[in-house]
Amino acid sequence: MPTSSSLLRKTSVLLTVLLVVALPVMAWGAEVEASPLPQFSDETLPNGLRLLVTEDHEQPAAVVRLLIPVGSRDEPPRQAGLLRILTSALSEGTTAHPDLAFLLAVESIGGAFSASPGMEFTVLGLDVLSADVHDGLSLLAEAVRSPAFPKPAVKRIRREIRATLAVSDASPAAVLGNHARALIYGEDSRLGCRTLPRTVKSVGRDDLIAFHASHFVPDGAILAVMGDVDGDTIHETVLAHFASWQGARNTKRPSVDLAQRASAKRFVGMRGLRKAHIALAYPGLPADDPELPAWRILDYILGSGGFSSRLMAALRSDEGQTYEVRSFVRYRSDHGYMGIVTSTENTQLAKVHEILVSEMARLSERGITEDELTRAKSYFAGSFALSLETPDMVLGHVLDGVATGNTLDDLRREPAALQAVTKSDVDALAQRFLGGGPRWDVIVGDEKALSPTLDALGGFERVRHKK
Amino acid sequence: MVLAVRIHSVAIVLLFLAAPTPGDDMLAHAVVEHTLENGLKVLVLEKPSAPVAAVQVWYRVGSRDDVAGRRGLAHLFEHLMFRGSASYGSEEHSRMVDSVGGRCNAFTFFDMTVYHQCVPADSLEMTLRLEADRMGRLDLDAESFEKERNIVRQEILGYRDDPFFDLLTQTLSSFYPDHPYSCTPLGALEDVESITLEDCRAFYRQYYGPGNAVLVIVGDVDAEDALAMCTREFGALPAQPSPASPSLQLTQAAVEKPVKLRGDIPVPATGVAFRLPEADHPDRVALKALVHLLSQGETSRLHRALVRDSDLAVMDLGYPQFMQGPGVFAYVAGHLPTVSSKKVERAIRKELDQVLEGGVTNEELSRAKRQMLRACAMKCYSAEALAHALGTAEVIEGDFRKHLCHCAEIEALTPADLQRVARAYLNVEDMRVFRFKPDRVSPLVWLYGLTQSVL
Repeated sequence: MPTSSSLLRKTSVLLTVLLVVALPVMAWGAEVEASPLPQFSDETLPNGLRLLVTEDHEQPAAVVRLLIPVGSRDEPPRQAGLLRILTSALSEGTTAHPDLAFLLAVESIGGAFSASPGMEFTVLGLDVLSADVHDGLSLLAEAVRSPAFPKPAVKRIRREIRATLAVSDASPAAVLGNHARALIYGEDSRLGCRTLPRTVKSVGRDDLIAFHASHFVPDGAILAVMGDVDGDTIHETVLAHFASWQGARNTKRPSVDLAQRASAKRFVGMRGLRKAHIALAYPGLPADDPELPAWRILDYILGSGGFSSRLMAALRSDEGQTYEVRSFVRYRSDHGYMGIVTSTENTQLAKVHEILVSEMARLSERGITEDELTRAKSYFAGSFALSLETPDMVLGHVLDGVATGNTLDDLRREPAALQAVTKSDVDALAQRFLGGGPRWDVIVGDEKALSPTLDALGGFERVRHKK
Repeated sequence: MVLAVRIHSVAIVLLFLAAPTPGDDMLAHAVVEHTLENGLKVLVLEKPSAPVAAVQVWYRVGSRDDVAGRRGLAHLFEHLMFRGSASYGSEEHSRMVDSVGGRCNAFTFFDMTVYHQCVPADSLEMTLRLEADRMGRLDLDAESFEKERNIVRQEILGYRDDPFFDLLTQTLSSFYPDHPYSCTPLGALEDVESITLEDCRAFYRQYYGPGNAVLVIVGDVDAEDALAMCTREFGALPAQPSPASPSLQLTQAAVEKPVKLRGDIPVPATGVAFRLPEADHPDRVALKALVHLLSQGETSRLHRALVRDSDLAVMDLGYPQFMQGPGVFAYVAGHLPTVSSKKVERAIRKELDQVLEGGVTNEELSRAKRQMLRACAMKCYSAEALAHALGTAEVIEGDFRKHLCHCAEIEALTPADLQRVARAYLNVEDMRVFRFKPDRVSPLVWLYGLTQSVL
């Protein structure tokens, strides 16, 4: 992608001199250019829609992403899956292109339309050849503003989702994730309850129309475009198709405080499994927490750093007890958590579980080493270029960050913020979250094979997985 | 810097958009090719748009080279390549790539084993040094061998817990009877437990010589500098005789009855499979377009006929796999137990017959072409994706100069081309049918199916 690092540097220095009193944040000017994030034109339309555009003439293509700040956590109670049905139905016809005509129109311009509902926000995507970006924006606007939700399509989508649920229900990893979330958030909370065939079945066309009308609004939405485009003409096209889109955001979300939840342990019996699948989870930080860089470094050292991580060394490299072990962090607007997942042969469950628990204890009690910190920082310093190589990666990173409360300058400061983390920052987080606070344990496996081990481990609620 | 980048970018755009000439692969012209004296072929493609470099070593060995009683050797050996070499300790290769912010992994497939990494461009030399060390001086010790064997065992057990993988395994062995492709690259657990350290040493000597590999570099590199680095790091490795490849000829029995397979799946499924020609066959691009039109996406013919416009199926998947030997196009539809597999099969046959007799429309083909061209453009953003395409074009399809960029061939396709390849390869008389039945079906699923069929 085009870079203009020398130009940026001069501009930033000038701005720093001029504005350092009025805008203290500009004192970070020198560090800001360290991130390979491109410059975006940034404008919010009168209806609240934010438009971010950056030109990249490497390929004759354009990537468009529209983020709507509504997610599965906003679904009505007992209608888990509504957003999934809704987003699938967006491409099933609009008032201008009924039924299959919409998808045929998208495909005729070589486009790929996608709709991804997440827990906190939904992203609609369109990849097109650059010659067709204006037609593509027009179709995207239709899909988000005037979907028809045809009855036969809604019925079919519900059926397809129920089939997909049946397939994932056969997967130990999916079962593990569902039960882990139930323990983390609570069975009865919207975040903890999962999409079930009966909740999908309960969603009717009227529900989709009502939810769409109240949540798919421009206020708080972000439209990002990157590719072989001209910024000015994109601006004109967006105005033409999105400026008259109206609606104010009215999403009310009860806040979540995972640190107040009780620990829990659950075993889920799935007959015939040859391996035990294990998950541990701990509360963590929200997306806009200033300690997030230290949290990410902790996660890297613990288990997301592949062969450079402690868990990989302890369980795979040294003991050969597992094929895969990893940690990950999830940070939402108001809460976060850390998860660890692995699997092992049934006969090794006790040993693996003990190693996991003792590694977490060691980390919380003794912290990390300076060498580990140095290597983690070195990883993050080099990885930015790789993680921002393509327009899809850039827009994904920008939208994730901006939608969870960060500014573009915050994102550009990420590399510097990670380098500024100290050992005591990381150790404090390890002690706070991994030692003594809530912990959620889930094991999925064959009950007959694992019963003696479960008895020895003690304290696990036992449930049977029903397909 | 800005001007140079923009000019280079414009040059690549112009290459892409220039009037295509059938058979003229313009992206391939940008690839610099060089073969070292020891036989290692090096392919370098400069792509300065981001400061990254993708480095991949494609060894011409895969699960097809596993002999009877040693199924899984190629895959197990792939694991051992991370356990240290003369200059680097166990897993140090991975940790060194991590330390510069890169990512690295490997995969074993039927025809090849690929060691791939993506690193900041200024770490190219370090990465090449790591690859050269394990190509020429791998350290195989008993302790690492036993640990990795146990890890592979864990991997196989994990896949075996997936009922769909079990069915895939059965399907493969049925479609490729007594053939090097009949077993998945993962191997067979009983064989993996019998493999010895000496088997691995012999495997390394036989297959991991420079002449049996292609080194691919794509990214923000200078081709001349990259080639000089390759000569420095790999040049001293001794040449080795090229290993023989097994015959990949497939003698399939005449199609008889459908194959019935059972597994712990939630609903039944009906699948069809067709034999595809080898990856270097001139019909490959037309077949990809045909398969796209038939089975990829909401507007594809089979999806519309079976899922969208009727209640026959609740989900479907179509997938073409081209290989050095005979490939396969498979289409599977999951349906409720109250829908008979024969009815689903008839619906599939009917759609295919319509293509064989009536061909495809200009509009359908135009849509498929635009989609494939857009996919090509998107792929070119990523050094890693381009490196993979380059490796595939050279190692699997036989010549990167002919096969790297298919844009010209895609543009030139006509409806007659697609009808011709449909008649040649998707003849329903050669269609193999698979009926997948669940071991047990929930009564609720039966009841739901009954309700659907009545209402």
